Amino acid sequence: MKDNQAAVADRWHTAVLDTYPPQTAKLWKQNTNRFTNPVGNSTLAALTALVGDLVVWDDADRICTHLEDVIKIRAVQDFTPGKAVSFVFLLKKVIREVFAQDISRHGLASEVAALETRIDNLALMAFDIYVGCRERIYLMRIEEFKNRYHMVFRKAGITCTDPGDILGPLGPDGESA
Amino acid sequence: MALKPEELIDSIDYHHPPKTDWMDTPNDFKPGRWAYPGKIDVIKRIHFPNPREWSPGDADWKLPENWKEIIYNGMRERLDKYRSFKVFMDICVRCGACADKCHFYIGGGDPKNMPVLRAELLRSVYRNDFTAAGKILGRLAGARPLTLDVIKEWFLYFYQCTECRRCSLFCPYGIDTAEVTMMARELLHLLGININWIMEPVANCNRMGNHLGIQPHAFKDIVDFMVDDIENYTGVRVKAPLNEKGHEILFITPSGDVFADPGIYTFMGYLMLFHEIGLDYTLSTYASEGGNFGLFTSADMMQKLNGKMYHEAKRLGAKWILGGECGHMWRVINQYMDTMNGYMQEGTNLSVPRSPITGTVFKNAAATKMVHIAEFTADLIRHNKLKLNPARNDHLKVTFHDSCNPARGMGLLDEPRAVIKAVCNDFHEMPIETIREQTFCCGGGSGLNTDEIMDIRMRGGLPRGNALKYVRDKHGVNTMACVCAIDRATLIPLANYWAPGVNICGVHELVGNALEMKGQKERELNLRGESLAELAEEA
Amino acid sequence: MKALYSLFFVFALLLVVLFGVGAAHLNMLFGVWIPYVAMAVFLLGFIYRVYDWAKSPVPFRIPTTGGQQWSVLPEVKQNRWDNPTTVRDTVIRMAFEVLLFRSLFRNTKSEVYKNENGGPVVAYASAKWLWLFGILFHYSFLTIVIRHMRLFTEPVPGFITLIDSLDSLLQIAAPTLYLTDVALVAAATFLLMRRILAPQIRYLSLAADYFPLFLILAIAISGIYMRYIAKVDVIAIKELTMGLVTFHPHIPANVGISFYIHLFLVSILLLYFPFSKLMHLGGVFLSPTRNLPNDSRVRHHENPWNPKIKCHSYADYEDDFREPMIEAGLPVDKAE
Repeated sequence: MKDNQAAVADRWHTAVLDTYPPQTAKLWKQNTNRFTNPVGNSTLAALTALVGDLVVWDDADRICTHLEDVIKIRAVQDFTPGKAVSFVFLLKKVIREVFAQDISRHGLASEVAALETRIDNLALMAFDIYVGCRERIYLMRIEEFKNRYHMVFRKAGITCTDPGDILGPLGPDGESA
Repeated sequence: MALKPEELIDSIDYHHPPKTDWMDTPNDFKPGRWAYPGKIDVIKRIHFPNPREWSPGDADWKLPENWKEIIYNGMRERLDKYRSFKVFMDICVRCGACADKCHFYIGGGDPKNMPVLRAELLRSVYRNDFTAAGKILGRLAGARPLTLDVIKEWFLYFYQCTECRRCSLFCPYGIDTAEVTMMARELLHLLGININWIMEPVANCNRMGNHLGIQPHAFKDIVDFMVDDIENYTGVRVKAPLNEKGHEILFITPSGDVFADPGIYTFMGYLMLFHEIGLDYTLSTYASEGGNFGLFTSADMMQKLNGKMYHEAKRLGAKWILGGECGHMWRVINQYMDTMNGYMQEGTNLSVPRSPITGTVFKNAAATKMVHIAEFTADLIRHNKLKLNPARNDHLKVTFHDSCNPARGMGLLDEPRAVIKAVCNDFHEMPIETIREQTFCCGGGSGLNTDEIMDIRMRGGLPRGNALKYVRDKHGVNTMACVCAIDRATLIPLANYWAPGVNICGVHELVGNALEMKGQKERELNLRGESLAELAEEA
Repeated sequence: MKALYSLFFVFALLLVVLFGVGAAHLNMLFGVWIPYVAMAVFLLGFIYRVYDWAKSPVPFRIPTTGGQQWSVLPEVKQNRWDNPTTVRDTVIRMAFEVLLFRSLFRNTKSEVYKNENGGPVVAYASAKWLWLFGILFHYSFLTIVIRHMRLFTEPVPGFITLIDSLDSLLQIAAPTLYLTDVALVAAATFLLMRRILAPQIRYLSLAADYFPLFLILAIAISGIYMRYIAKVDVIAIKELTMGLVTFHPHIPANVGISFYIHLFLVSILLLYFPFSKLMHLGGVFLSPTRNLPNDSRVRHHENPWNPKIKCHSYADYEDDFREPMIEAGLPVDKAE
């Protein structure tokens, strides 16, 4: 697994892009300019990092950062919540495909089981992050509304200066404007 | 019993669209994919067709009975009125150069957001009804008959185009999807299909003078708040003349600068600047909206709303008009205003704008008599007419977002940069593919800056957000300046989501903070009322 | 599927000639009347389409500005060819557009990025190919059309002979190989393959996009076949073509079937041209986002149908709000 990280990441990337319409998937895989093709390239970078994280499995914060890079994008695309985080499970399939021979030849079932447990953990983290992203979207909607009528509220004397008073703190790093 | 993960994988349909041609792919009308339709009373106020209670989520859109005929005649009329429309319907070769240029496609991946396919949604009907090949060969020639589903599809996708014109830049024939979208939206209006986020500002702007419909006395109170704030922060009491006759200049800015956070800080910047140079100007409550949502509605509505600027300039006797920081407002002024309303200049005092401070004659505004504030300020700075202390912005690492309309519908690129560089010491450009004429939209242009479609906006904003994140990580950028009121609203959630930690401001907010004013007290707070000492410490 | 329809149709056209000339001996029809009709339809159709576009006015000047505007600030340098304000600069912009495909070239900023493993990757390769093969295709086509003019002129003007000899510069094979023959076939094949193989392009392609490519390929191949394999009697062909242009049509004896195939396919192309996307040849000159200066702020432009819609007047506005305005100390026109 350590030696094959790039191959795993690449297969995983392909599998994830295949959750988009085929004509889009191809384009996003081909264009390697990170500014004109942010989805394809952010996803690839984050998945590659995640494969590495999975092997090392030491820093939950870092793993969350990488997961968030992917989920953030999928959370605002036309996916149901399940489909948005399903990409994590695709990794199981990819690993079984890439290492099929090694697994059967060397009897690595227990290693695979351990790895898959990590992936299950990853999925749970992904779910938390997804919900966090959605919460942030809704808070942003409220914030935007308040910003728009900022002076009108002030004129009416109904300004609320700290949204935290009412709404609680914003998402992970979504500071109030 | 829950499924095992592997079984779950197999059971999930990974969102492959049905393997059908785009003409056969059904459209999804779940909430969040469309903006709310216009309210009955709003539609009645501006006399638009078919006011009624309806929702895009309903099966029945309650269209007039002869809707097909209305669309046919509407298309006929527009083909005869606009060469652009006719040529763009005919000459596309579907080379695909535009396909990956649209921010909505780049961020979302829905093939119908490729500019070429967006235009094909309309073109297919055009071929069917107006071309020989389409009439004879039908689908082989890319034609399809007009059905209710086609109309619904138009609504979905022509309200997922921000008329940003990025595709037009890359098209070998200059086909401009903005132009196609405008035509499609005009056609939809004929049937009473519209969105409230555009129609209500239009109605308000028409009658009350600004998008929010704030009445003149309240408007005055709000401006006075800002005059008070400026006095608190600087110790200088500035004047903000309203509706006064006999001034040299009429100043018009989008009303977002007066009502919305953070536009108000930009507005305070204007007031301080005008006070400091002793500009002879007035604001107007009647023409208190620089923005023109008519541009997103119909050519007629755009003309009607825009006319107020010359009408008010005439009444007040202004010699020229100074325009604030706004995006689509400047597309209207640069490419439409004099052509449609130039005749209204008759009998006014309007003449070719000349800066009373530097003597510079703005020959590039000889016809419209309207100067962009960034040009005006850049000229002041060039002539050393302002005393600036950029160090007050030293806690900021600034980048600049080119707004679509000033970039691709005008070419205002270096003027705002000249101003920013004079008032900030730490400026970094975003990557070249994402700025200047290649700039990416904020995802909320053309009247799509409403919050019920926040998901669509966020995916449309991804390319911009991604470039912003890059400079944030690379240079520590913490501020993105812009010259557009819609941007000042939409970039906040965009940055919040894609590049947390970056604040949004107008260019003249930075000017206001850097500006040294005669008789000012020790400047301890910036225009947002934040302690400069604390900010410097944090930075 | 759409590609297959188009391919079948081109084959059907071939069969028409094989039967028409080979079996039914309708030489006059295929050698004279169809080409005449095709040429007439092409010319009249082309003119009509351009006239039809030109008939619709250009109400507003809506150039897509691709660079810095003209500014009165001396240090702000105008990007004159991407954001022109004068007629001269607009003409230059159009020349870049039409002759060099400038907008398409914008795609092609080929930048080298490092991929995840540190290897260099050229971004936008496909777009670069599109520009390259696009321009190769169009210029080859143009050269070939000019070369063919030697069959329609007597004596042959010098520049045509010159282009002919430049085109066969390599001096390989006999008769000497034309560079443009190779280039045209290669470019058309690339454009076709791109449509068939790139999923996003395939998705947006219509039958009307494949058909002209197949047709042009068939024309090129039939021409090449005539020249290098069938080695047709060029003297006889020139007799026929000169007969056509001098309006003394006449069918010489030694003209082979391959010529009729070539001529018929060209006729079909001419017939098809005015009704198709191929009209971009004329349309590119009429595109309002390119062929107009960005000068509506500088000089007045007349919209022939300007509706002069009246705005909601200040007087009406004041009538709505006079009382609160006076109360707030705002100046009013009619204080009653």
